[in-house]
Amino acid sequence: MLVKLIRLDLRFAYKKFLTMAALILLLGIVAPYARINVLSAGLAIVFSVAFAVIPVLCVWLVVQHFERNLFGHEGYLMFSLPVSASQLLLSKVITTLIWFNLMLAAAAGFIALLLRGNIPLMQLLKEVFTWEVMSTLLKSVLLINANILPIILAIFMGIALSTVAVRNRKLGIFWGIAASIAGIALFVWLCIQTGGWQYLSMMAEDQAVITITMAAAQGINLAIAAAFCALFFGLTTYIMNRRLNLA
Amino acid sequence: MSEVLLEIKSVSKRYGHKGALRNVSFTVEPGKIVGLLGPNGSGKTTLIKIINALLADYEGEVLICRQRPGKESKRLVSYLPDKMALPTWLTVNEALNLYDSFFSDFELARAQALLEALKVPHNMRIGELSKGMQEKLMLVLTMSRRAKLYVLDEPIAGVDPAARDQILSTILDNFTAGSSILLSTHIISDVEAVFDDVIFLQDGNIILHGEAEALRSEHGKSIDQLFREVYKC
Repeated sequence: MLVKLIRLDLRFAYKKFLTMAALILLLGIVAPYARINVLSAGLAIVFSVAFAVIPVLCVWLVVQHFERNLFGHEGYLMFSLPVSASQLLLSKVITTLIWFNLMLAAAAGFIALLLRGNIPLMQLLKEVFTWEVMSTLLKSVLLINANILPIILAIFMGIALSTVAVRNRKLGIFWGIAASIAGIALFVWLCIQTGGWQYLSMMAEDQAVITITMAAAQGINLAIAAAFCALFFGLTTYIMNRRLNLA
Repeated sequence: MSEVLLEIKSVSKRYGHKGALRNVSFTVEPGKIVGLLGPNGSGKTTLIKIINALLADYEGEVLICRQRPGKESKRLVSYLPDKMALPTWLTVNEALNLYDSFFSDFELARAQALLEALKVPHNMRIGELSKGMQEKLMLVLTMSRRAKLYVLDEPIAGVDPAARDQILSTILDNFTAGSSILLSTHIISDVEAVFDDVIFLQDGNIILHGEAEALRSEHGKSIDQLFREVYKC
């Protein structure tokens, strides 16, 4: 059932996200010519607008789909399907992570295309596709995903919380946004604390100390992320199971 | 005594300070068509939402084949909401496939035949269909399931009399023998002949409940006349 839900969620916006990813790559292809083109100023504006608008559009699409699909009219169908609330939420989380990684890959592609003027593309690919670089890259992507997940879940929790106050939707929206921001702020603050420790560890002279401290800091970071994920996921499924009030 | 399909025990629901349902209790037995009658705001939709697990925050107990509303009960209940619940970006065919993939009791061939009969185009996006066509599509999807209980929220509200007949015959011709229908409406005259039992709701209270035929004999009036008298329309 979860796979069916993910498939349904993916179908909602795959065209929009693929278009945005293609647009980012297109900007990467066009960018090097901006330096020699008379339209460079215009292109710079296009770049700035695109890079400001695309992330906002992505977040808006995800938020709008979550709200409409679960707590809007479509919720009457979604909550009538023989699936659990946690499956409904998990499907949205996995889909959002897929979109996030697609955009991340597009951004990486953009950077690679930008660098092709300085380093030949084939040489860049040769240097990137080594076991060492790929494992570091994969580790970084996993770390980024682990840190973005609590933020996604905090937003979803805020949306779910905003629907609880049936008689006063505005108050509900206020509390939903406040809870989301507070949750994200607390998570980011705790991450900065461990991140700072990680940064300080780099100043150590002993390589073994650096390696151990970095690993410990990353472990703590992952533990914090996991704890926040569990908290936000649990609260959202609790609202969906026990406090659901479809308008 | 036959097994009870739906059991509502002392159910109350409040929206803030306003009581939407007050201590409502009744049962629905297999093979019955039950009319849930009342004016707008009487609590019909709230009760239906509770049965379908769309409202979780209520007092009392709801049992569908001895199960509380949830994942398992949703396999037994086929629900027609009073809103367009399908994603409008889906095509009609995709909506059929959606129901087919999620509900094991969905009969795709029956749904396709019903769509043909009701002249609902297969390949159009739902958002491009007229409101009447969207309602027919929802009805086809709901009635193409072989469910134990059909819960229909205002299926004939806002449609012309000709379409009402078409909708009613679709409901009556397609519900599974031995299953039950709980149908909410405030338009009585066209549907009263099909009801076995009726429940009158007012301000969240059941003010009249019984077999339709017995109520007609007892009061010497049709259900529609009784409705008008009770609610002073």
